[in-house]
Amino acid sequence: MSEHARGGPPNADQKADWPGAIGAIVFAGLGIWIVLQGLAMSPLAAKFPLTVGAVMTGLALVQLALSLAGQAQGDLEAGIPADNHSKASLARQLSLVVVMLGWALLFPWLGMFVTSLAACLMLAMIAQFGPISWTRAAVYLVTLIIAVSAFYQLMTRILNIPMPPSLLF
Amino acid sequence: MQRKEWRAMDLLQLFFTALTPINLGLAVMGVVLGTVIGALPGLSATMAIAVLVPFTFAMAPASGLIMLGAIYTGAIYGGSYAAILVNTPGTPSAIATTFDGYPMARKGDGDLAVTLATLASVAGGVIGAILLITLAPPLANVALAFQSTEYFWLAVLGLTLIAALSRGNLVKGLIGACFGLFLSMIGVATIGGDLRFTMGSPKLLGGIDIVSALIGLYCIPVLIDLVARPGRHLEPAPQGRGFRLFEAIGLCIRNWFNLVRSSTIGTLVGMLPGAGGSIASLISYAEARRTSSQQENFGKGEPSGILATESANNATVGGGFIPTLVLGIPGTPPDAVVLGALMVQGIRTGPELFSASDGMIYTFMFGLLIATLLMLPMGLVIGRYAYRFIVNIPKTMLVPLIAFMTIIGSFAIHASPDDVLVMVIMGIIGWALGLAGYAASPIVLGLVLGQIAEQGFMRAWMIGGARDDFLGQLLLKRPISMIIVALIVVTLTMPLLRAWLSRRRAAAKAGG
Repeated sequence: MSEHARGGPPNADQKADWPGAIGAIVFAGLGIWIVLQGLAMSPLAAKFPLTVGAVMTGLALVQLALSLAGQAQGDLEAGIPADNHSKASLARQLSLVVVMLGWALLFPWLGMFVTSLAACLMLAMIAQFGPISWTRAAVYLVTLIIAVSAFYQLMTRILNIPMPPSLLF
Repeated sequence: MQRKEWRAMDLLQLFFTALTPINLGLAVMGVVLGTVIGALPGLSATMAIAVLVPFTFAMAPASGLIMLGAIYTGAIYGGSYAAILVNTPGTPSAIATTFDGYPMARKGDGDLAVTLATLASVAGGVIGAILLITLAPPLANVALAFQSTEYFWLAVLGLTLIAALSRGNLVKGLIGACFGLFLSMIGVATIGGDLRFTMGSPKLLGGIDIVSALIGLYCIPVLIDLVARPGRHLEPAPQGRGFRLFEAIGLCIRNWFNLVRSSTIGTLVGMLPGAGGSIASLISYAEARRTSSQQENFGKGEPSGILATESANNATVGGGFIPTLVLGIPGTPPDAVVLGALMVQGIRTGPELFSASDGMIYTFMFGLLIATLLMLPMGLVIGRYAYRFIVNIPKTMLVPLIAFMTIIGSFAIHASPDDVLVMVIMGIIGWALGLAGYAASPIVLGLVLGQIAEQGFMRAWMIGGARDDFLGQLLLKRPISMIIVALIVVTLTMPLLRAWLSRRRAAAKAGG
């Protein structure tokens, strides 16, 4: 029987899963909040929230124990392998998050075309690794302007999707 | 309306009527347009059909309807491109295609994955169309037998897929599903009418839009990962591999039963109003995994997974038309738009439609079949260029273009900036949860299936309460429910049984 199975501290191969534990705490809190909100609802509307909230809290506590005991490393099913995150450039990742958030918040005020063009240029700079020649930069710039213009026209002229009234366009 | 008993020769004649050059040209155009629109995240089959419906009013009724059918089937298929190449389901029907499609693309087999998706979509579409042509009236009665209770159990069956998606950590998968279920409850409760979890914001009254959320949950983490390190997005394929058509056909032949089973599931689920391609493909994926001898490969780039999901979601096209044409009840949102177009063309739905003397409905159904077959050459060519484009485009261009697609795609759903904000926030949440090992797919499963599960359960609860027989209403007096529950039990216990058997075999071997 392993040391861990006997109830002892986790060994070197069973490091505590701190991100998983933090996630479990967040979910436990969310589950409790869902239950508390559910208590104030009508019986018909409350049945599912109460069930889901209680199950979420219970599972999160189990996960917290597993994570602290080092028995639950993250394992994603598809897409980004969990270990990839640790090798990444956090500055670029956060820059992308900020640009996307700014884009989503500003386009109703400034206009879809202007914000999209600005955001696309910023994202292109974030995604560019290493030096770039002026010619290539010009090609990228022209391509982005054409792509954004084409999709803007597709949205407004062909699909007739109404754009929010804004300062610019 | 004059009635007529249609014989095989008459039907053959109608088949050739559907094969006129104009109809073929419109079918090709419809497939191409549908495929391109379906490939763009957020632009759905419903939107493609709705936008193009007015153009069909000026055409002969049969030609117009053939074009609409072609757009629909092309759009459902097109969703697989984004799912495979950028891990973003172009349509909700392609959610399950990301599970194995994207891992295949990351391993350098994106070309094979796209060809497999094309073949599976054609197979599913053909089987769905054949069932529509041959068995529509009797199958429509099966759809009527499904009531709220059966929908609830179907949703639970879909949720069992979490076990398959949570490799190595079932608890995190279940927590993710609970989070998805929570998201599905935000807004006005459909049963009870309470405002739930809106935090006083009118923007949340309508709830979280599923398409916005899934674009965010799947696509934003990919974008964040793309800018995190240099190097290519996908492994390039060696030169001269072509479409890898023969390799894909070989896989299809080896998986013929998987294709037939998934297409049948797709047709049957497509018949159920409100269920749709997402549930069909999830259930087919779960079945394919459950019955596979290589379960451990699912989620890591298993071709059988793509064959199951893509055949199922395209089979829903034919399946969805069964209640639409026979009962006038649209199975999916695009069916509702087509139903409107049928009415404008003066076609009244109902069982008598199949014995109408003009045979219009058969021309339409044959047109759907032809459009599905045309998807093979069209899809292979478009898919090849899409794959090359995604593989060869530098990240400096790829990142802003995908980001732009996510923004305009989520905005286009309801022309609402709130959907865009929801998409970005869900993406950031999905990325943060990914850092902690909580995967996106269980969250999406909970979100997609939550409303169906809640409505089905609560209706069964109310009807059972009124009859003082809740258990009977939920299960004991409902044969279809009992069959679905049996499937759920088998799905959940089979992996445990297999693990137990393999442990016993290993112990027996070790013992001598």
